[in-house]
Amino acid sequence: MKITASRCQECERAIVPPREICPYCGPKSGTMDLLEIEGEGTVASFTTLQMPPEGFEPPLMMALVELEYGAVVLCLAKDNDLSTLEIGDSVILSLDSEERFLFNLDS
Amino acid sequence: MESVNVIGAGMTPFGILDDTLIHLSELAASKALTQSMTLELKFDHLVVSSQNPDEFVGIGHLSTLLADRLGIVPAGATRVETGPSSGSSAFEVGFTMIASGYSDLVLVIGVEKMSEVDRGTASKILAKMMSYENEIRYGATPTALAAMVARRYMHDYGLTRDELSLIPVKAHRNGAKNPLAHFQKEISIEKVNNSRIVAEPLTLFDCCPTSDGAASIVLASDRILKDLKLKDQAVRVLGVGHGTDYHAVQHRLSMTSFGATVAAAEKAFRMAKINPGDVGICELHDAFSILELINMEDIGLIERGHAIDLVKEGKTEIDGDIPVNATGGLKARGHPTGATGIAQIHDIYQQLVGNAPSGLQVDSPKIGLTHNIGGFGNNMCVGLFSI
Repeated sequence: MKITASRCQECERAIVPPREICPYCGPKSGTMDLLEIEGEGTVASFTTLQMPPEGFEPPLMMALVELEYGAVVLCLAKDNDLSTLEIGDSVILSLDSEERFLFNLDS
Repeated sequence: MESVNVIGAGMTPFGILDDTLIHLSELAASKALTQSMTLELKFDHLVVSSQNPDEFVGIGHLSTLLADRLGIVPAGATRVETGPSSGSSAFEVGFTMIASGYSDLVLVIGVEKMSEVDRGTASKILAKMMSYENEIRYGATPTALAAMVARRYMHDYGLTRDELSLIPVKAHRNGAKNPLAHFQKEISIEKVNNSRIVAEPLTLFDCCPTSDGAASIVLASDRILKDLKLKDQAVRVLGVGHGTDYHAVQHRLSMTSFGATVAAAEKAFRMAKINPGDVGICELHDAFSILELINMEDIGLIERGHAIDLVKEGKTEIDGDIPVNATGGLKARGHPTGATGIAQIHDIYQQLVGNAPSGLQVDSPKIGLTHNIGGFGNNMCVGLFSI
């Protein structure tokens, strides 16, 4: 899967979802460039909520996943039973029916 | 810039209370006015902090309402909101009013009444400070974000579960001696470790409560101080700093440090012309246990990854070199969000004038620091005070 991001011409960091102004460099660096980045990355951290908010069922596992060009996205686990997950693991991203990112171990 | 002084402070008990938001505000203000001996003076301005009175209790236009109820019309009145750092931001506004010469006497009140709505509704109201696009619609909560920060910190620096539990244990040990604290009961490491998991690795006892309560301070120029002959109970504002970080956690440049704290602390220390090593007592925003350790490092009290060493050596206890959250912090004192920043200044003020609760008074502190977090870690204020 490809993910649409925007990348700053000055600091070259990418951000998801895309936006016009680089939050790190400000308007002086001009409009950010749109680009497609790979939907695969590594787990920066993760948690499993046993007391999630209304509308969600426990256990609810989520992770911050680092992609290309320094972009990081929050993702829900495709399979909530990833008991062996560790920081640094490689994961593959997909989308659920509500256009939220999902992650699964890269086998 | 004119000098700014805190000349009195008051607060209500924090907890699940029967009092209305208005009554809590009146009680806290009345104590601050009494301690500062300003009952008969004309205030230039009232600055009120409250995160969301509109949704928690259905009250709008709070600043005018309180000016009316407190009998200080026609003083100017403003409400300030920066999430759970609203209290410190209100103080910052009051500070700048006096520092600029615009005002001489400013009353600041922080208040939140969170228990009138059920838990789910309170969580929904508080969740609005997070990013809808990147966090809320994924089911993330402030605890979930703190849990990911905690796991990353443990991974990077080797912090253990037992070590992290020392933070809420200390908070409750101090809170047990604070008659105004929400929780006045000691807990054990086992209690923290074995309580219900909210978001792994954080348990219920890693998280502060939601509370009702109000706190108030009186800020005055040197001119007022001289007129009232209040020099003995005046605490000087040495420095104030305020900074932001990126809204969603995924866009931040670090997972184990908060840029907003670093920016706010640097500004405050630069204004005060002192160093972190000069601070004698701290109030740090420990909404989640892990934050206390990260805050200590971001403020510059200790190098990265080593805050737990100070805790284990007893240096952050009441009789230690750098007491942290001597009155119980957010964990035990409680967290009525809009009131917390003012409660922190209240507690530092009472410490500096030697008026802290029995068993919690630090031995003659000279310089106190307050650190207040808004949002999930993206709108921070730091204050520095001296006797």
